[in-house]
Amino acid sequence: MINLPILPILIALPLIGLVFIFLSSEEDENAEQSKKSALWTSASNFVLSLYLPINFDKSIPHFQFVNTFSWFNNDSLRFSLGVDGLSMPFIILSTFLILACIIFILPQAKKNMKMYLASFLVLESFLIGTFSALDLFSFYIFFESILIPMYLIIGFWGGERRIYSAYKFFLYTLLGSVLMLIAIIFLYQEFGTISIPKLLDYTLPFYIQIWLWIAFFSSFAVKIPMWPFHTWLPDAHVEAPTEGSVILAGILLKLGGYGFIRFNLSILPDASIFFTPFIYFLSVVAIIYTSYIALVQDDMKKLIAYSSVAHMGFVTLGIFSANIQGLHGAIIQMISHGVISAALFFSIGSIYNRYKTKRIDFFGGLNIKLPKFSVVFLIFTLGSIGLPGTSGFVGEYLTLLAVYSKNTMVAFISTLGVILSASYMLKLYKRVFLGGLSENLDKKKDDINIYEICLYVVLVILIFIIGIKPGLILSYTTASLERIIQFYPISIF
Amino acid sequence: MFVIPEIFLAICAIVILFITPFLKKNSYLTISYLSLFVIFLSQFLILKDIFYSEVIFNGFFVVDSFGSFLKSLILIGAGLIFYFYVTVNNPKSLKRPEFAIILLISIVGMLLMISSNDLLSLFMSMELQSLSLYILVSFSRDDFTSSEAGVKYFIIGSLSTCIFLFGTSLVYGLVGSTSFSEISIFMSDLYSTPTMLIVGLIFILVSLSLKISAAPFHMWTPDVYQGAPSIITTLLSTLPKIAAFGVLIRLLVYPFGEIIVDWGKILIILSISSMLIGSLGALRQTDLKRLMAYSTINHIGFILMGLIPGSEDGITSICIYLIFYITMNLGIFLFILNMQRDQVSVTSIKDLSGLYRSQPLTAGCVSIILFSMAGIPPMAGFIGKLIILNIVIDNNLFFLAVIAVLTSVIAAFYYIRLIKSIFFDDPVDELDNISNDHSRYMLCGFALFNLIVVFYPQFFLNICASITLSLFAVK
Repeated sequence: MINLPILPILIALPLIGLVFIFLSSEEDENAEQSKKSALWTSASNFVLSLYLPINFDKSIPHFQFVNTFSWFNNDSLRFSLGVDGLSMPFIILSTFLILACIIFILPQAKKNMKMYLASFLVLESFLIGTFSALDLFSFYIFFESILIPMYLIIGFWGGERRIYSAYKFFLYTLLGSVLMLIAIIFLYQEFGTISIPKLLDYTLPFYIQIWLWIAFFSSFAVKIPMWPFHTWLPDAHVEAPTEGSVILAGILLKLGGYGFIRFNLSILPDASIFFTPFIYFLSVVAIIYTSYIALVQDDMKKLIAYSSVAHMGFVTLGIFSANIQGLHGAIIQMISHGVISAALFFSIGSIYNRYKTKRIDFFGGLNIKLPKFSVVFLIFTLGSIGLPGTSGFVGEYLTLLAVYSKNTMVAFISTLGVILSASYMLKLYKRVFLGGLSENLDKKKDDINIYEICLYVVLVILIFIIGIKPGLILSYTTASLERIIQFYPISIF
Repeated sequence: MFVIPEIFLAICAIVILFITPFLKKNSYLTISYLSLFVIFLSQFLILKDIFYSEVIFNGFFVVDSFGSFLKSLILIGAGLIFYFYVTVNNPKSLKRPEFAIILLISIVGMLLMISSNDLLSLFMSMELQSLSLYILVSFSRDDFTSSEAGVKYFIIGSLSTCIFLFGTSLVYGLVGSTSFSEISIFMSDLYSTPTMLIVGLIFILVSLSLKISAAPFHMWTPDVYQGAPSIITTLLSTLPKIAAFGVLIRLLVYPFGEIIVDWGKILIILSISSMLIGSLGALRQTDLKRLMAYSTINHIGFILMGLIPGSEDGITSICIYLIFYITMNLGIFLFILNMQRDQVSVTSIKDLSGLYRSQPLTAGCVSIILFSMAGIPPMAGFIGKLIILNIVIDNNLFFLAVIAVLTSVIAAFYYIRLIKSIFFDDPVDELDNISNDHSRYMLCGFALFNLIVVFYPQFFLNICASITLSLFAVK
């Protein structure tokens, strides 16, 4: 294996693309030159990120591709980057979705296009940094830095109430994560190291674990988001521009799940066992309650946003079941939700670009106007429901399997969520695409363009690939996940 | 021979004062450039002796590298403020040669404050600094708000002086000396601390809190900051704070180091109330300078936390935070100095709206500095907060750390509000473009500094750790 410093390259490359964007002197809303540089940057970053799975040694549970930099000239305080089976899929997901967003932006015109593209490239750099950070401080720095470009994306290019939503997003997540900062500093003081691989070897007394767990939980529960900390999400989604929603639902929410596995589950096992009933309760409420809320939404984006909270409920159930099926389920559910919700938001973006509204009752019989598009949307809808054969099914099935082995009641109630998800998603499809043609849709609109076709075909293929052969992802993650849960008893209660 | 910088500055100030009448009428620029040059020279004189350590004038003053470091920081700040003064478009009332001279004298006072090793010399140098500042605050004498601010500052300042003298007299009554080293010897022989001594220390602390504007002694800050000419607000929010922190650190660590249990609690109260008032008070402000006053109070509360353990690491972290604090504040105030509409200075938050549309580069730089003040990584302000929080948690003060981070979230709210105005609001009435290149480049410089610190914070840690060593060597 060549010793290529792949992770620093992946983080630095978008920033180099940034320089090209700012060097071009064009100012118009199309900014063709900048679009090209952004496209090339994100495409090459995606191709480069494929270096990771190709050269990844699946049998090693430890971190690979490790790079260390001195930060404070002190052996215990070093920046380090590396990936294991847990973080690798998320890095690929990030580079893929950013590329998808840039492709989706290509035919559009927006005010301040250069800064829009730049925000996405910065976001990409920070996202890869967060997923590959191997020490607490750089994790925190990347994790928090993401707020800045995302705040600008929502606040600058968002909808009507964008400023309120951007505020809410920023302050909610900041409030959650400052407590994590205290926990991180405490861990450093306690062990004299900030390296995550080293922390895995220590065990903490139970009463300290409890407090640290709450501190980490407060950060990730807001990010993922769990009920009742989810209220920022619908606002942020509705007001964010299409690409912003895609990144938000596709990757940012996964930071919460990733953090839960990386910190709460790995470093604080006793507290995780202690808090499992609490998590189960919140997850079940999230699944049932937000599904019901999704049923009555009349804004498409809001509906998908609430369904995201419900889907993330499955993720937390899977994670805190703390067995291999549960974690596999959680990972597949996160990746699949990353793909499907991104696809759904892109689709809503396509609709919005044509009709300038996201209200469900505006539409009806859209399949007559946009026949190809309605097929694609149906596949995404079925994926979101979790139809066998699509990726959504694998995640939910594995999660429910894991939970069933721990607690039958919880598994039973959360299965109702699957039915509810079918009802709200199918209702959405029926109201928008089927039925008589609404008189609002008189004007002729083009069916999806070539960029959109490329994008949707790739997403559809991905949904089926993950659904039919989830082992493609799971073969990478198994070794690392088994290492994480080796301290957990087989049955918790 | 080690007080050469102070003596040199004082003599130069007097010489400049004498040559002023012989210059042409509109001589303020010449005088300012001359003062800038003098400051530049005294910076060399300080750096020359930065590793020396000596007690001089019968224990009246002490020269050590901790003091020299803070002095050179003050001189750098002073140089930058002079540079702002000569480059930006000042109101007419400030274009007078006395301005630079009084500023120089106040800087002499600050430098002497830092090297004081006796309560009396401390008192004198503090007065020298304060009296010059009273004049500077009310310098725009035709302006009603400036005069009002001057009177307020003077009254509060005199009160602070009275309280300081009363505390000093109590300490003197018990110890029989005002020298720091005598007090230190007295303290180390004690079995139990006399209550009167603690009362005396509390009075001195109250007086110094008035100087650093730590809550609940912050009342004067917003009014004075708003009323004073912007260039003086820049000065007030940076240099006297360094000087007062230098005094506070030297006083608490060296003569009163033995009763850390007593003053530690007082500092906890001061820092918690400062952080709370600094963050909550700013929420409803509409004036940028007033908001910066509350932001200062918030930062002061954060810095005070580093002093609570009274340890070497804590003081190192304070020094680092002070460096970052000054760069952030100077950056923001440089922008405020340049905020003009039709050649008239404006300071309302509303005036910021839509800045991004008219001046994208300036807007970007200001936002970076504001994010840094809010402590959002990866900016310098975050590194400062991280280092201070590290000290606090190291000493198991968890409740303090939690309050600190929660108040910093509240504080983030108002910094973010400014960024919201800059980027998202539609411009009502555009500000003038920053016309002079000096200010533009300087602003970029400050923003860049805030961005790149994260890559090598070790540099600042090394410097500050080596200079705090000298403070503890005396002990």
